[in-house]
Amino acid sequence: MKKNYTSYPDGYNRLVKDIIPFYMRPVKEMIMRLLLMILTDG
Amino acid sequence: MANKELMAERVKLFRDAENFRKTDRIPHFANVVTWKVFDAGHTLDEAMTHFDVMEECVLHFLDNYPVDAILDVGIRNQFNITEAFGEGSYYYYDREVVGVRDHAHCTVETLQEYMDDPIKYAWEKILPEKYGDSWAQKDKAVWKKTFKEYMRYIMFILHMSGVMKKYSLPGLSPNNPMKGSVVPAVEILMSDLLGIQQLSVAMRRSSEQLDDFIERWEKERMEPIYEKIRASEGPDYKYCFDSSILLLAHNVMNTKQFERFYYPYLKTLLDTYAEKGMNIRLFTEGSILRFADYFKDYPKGLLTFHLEQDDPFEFREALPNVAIMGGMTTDLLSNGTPDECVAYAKRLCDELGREGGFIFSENKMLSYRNDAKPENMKAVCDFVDSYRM
Repeated sequence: MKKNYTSYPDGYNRLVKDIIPFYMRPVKEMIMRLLLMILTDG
Repeated sequence: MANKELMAERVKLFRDAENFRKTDRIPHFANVVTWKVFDAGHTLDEAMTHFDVMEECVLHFLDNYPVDAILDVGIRNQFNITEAFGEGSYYYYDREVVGVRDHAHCTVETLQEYMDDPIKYAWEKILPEKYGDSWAQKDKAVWKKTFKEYMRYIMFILHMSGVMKKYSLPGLSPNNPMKGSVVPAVEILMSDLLGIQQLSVAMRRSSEQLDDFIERWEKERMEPIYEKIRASEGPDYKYCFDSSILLLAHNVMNTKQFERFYYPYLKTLLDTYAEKGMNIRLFTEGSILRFADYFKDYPKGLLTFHLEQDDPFEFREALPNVAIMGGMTTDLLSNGTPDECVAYAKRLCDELGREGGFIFSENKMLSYRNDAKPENMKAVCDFVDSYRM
């Protein structure tokens, strides 16, 4: 079964690990902030 | 002239105008957004989802219209990201039009919950409501695809930043999507959290809850910004301005509401910038003239109002201490002749810019095909570029 990410914080944290490459993790907050802004407001 | 020198000269031109120092010519800040897509022979649906097409449109504009800076180099469209994520976008476009549907992320009752943890709130409330049943279907493949488009978008922003350097065009202000903008509480309430309708009702019926939210926004979001401003070394001469702030919510307020919900907080922000001798652009959408008295005591150099609907000559009479940006109406650009447009551009430069204090720009963001005739835009850009004071 495909997993979804709808829970918080577990699903959210799992998503961050699943989609953000390792070398970008140090700026993951900034990356996720803008992505969420685009998905919520855009 | 080398790229760096020309860019420095342009920044100086803007800063001199903002500080009411005489300049030998008037700088032109192109308030141009998607109009350039039509002018390059494309339609919005082609440019919105293809970065190469958008870049071609930007280059077409920059190669044909001499300007000193431009509002947008094609980086405001994020449709590839939202489309990769699936249905549910607030923004929409077709061949000729791009728009946004009215939306509200909160009610007055949930504002504090939003402030408690904005990411949790987005995850548990905003996204499920926005995407409905499909929210639970967003699996790893969908998110990966979305993230890939997001990275392409970031790379496009960086690429277009290089294009701006190549054309020696300074950026508007240090604000950008990666760093976040300076947004007063009532503006975020109106644009995203409550929307126009709920905010208007809340100002009458739930004023204390609004006060609570605004006070908290001030403490948690604005005070760190004030500290950052105070810790800075003053104006950053890589940019035309030190900050650019959009004012829209004042349009739905009466004087009493403006005094309660907006002005005290805006004043704190402006006073903080004033401490460091910075130059601020206030993009006053709609009309700000009825609130002119609140800004009459600021020193020359702090404020530049980019006017949308206000008459610039009337505004100069009301606030001689505030620099003006704008003046060129899209009404004239779309309906007039090149001679009429140039005559009006000359009047703006002569009457508003002789002693500094004026930046030529279009009053509205040029977005649609009929916002300007190309021959009018060309005549005006050529005139402003070559006219010497």
